[in-house]
Amino acid sequence: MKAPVDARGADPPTALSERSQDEAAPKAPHVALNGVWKSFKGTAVLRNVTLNVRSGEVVSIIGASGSGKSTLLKCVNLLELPDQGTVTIGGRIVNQRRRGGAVLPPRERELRALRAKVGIVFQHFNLFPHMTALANVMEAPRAVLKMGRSEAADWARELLSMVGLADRADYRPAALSGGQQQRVAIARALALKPEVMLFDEVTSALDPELVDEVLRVMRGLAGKGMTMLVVTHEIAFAEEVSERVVFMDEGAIVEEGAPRDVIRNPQRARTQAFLQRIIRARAAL
Amino acid sequence: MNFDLAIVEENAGQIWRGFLATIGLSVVILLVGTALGTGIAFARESCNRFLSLPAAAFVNLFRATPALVVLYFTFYAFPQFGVRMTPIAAATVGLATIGTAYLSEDIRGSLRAIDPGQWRAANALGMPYWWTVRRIVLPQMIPIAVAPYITRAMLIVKSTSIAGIVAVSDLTGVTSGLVSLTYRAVEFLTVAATLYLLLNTVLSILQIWAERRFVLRSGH
Repeated sequence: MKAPVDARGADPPTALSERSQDEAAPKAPHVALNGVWKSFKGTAVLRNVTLNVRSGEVVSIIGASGSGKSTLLKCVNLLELPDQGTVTIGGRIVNQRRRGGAVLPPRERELRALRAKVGIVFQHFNLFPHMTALANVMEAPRAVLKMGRSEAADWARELLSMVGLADRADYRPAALSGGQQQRVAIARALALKPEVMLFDEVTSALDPELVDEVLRVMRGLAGKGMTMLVVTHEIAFAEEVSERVVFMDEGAIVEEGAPRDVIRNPQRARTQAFLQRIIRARAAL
Repeated sequence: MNFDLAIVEENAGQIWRGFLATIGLSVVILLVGTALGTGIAFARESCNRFLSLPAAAFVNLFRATPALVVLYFTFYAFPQFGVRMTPIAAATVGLATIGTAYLSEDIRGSLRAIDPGQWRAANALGMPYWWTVRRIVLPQMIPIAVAPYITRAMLIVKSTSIAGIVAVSDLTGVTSGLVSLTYRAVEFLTVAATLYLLLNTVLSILQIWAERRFVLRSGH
């Protein structure tokens, strides 16, 4: 199921390859959401969501727009704080801290430390337009990991090479295609050496011919044992790369299981209706 | 009418000192206004109401009050509270306060022009707030702010001309005194207007330089 390495067949990057060898073996739950609720202005967007992701596992989340997929991802790296429930990363509850008897939200520096461990890539790449691709990738290691300039530059070049953009290191985002920008955004998120990667509809804003180059990079990462949570409308990709597919509707997980079961043989009417709509939309293209 | 250049030459030293006072006043107001105005712009955009509300109150108070009234306050009213300042200090405080209010709005305009996705991306990468401001937001704000900022700077330079009313010997103050003394209004006013034009031409050139440097660099 897991594809080999890299977007353009370049050598696999040292750091990530080493990590995959070291960490591929343990399969304990690495990310755990337990009874998570989240509301915006009185509307429940997540309803009692419980989800466990093992180390090295790739889980795809599918569902209609507004079903709560993106909010679920943002609750994993606490860009959104759950109203209720716990988020556990690496065995530690990260969305709460206790002082005396009181349960408090995490401190700002704890949030920053968590976000270094859990990378996220958005639908809109949000690259820094005043910086080159290389500087975009260097910035977070310098700010967060306190890496020196030359070390950060070497690391950034390695990552750009991994996403097949070594020859675009000195280009500004405006001079790159959408697919290339998204690959830089993936390299930028990887620059913090995260344990978990979250992908939020990363191909949705791309022209169809640019989708595959991004999916190739993601396949490469999955192949190296990166723990990944992927919100996607690319059903074929979800089936090919994921170990598990989760279907969400109205803020709740309606169905989850092996890709073949959920995508080919969905049990719930809502999952069937959603997949029918997707298949019809694809056929119309 | 004959243009008497000799009378201007006779008083050149006094005009030069007035010109230097205008430059000094303008530079201090711009430095203070830029520093405080940037802080107030960020405070106004903050989610923290303890920062945003006082910042909004400051801006709305001082952009709604005539500069002359503020100047009279600093020069004539403050002594009633036991705060006595020299004319130049009173003018600097009064005009810098007004300048800060206006500059902060120009700076806030460029801050609001930054795509919220930039803050979101920096936040998602765990970057500290001040790193995000310094490395991500400010470099994108500067190219947007250049034109309104320089226009405001020109208005500030011109606004120093009211400092003469509280006995500051700035360019307008000196000119006004010389006109009263000699009745050679055309000569002295022409010289004063030319010197203001010269100052603002320097600012125009600065704008061209800044637009080339920052706008091209930022890729906007």
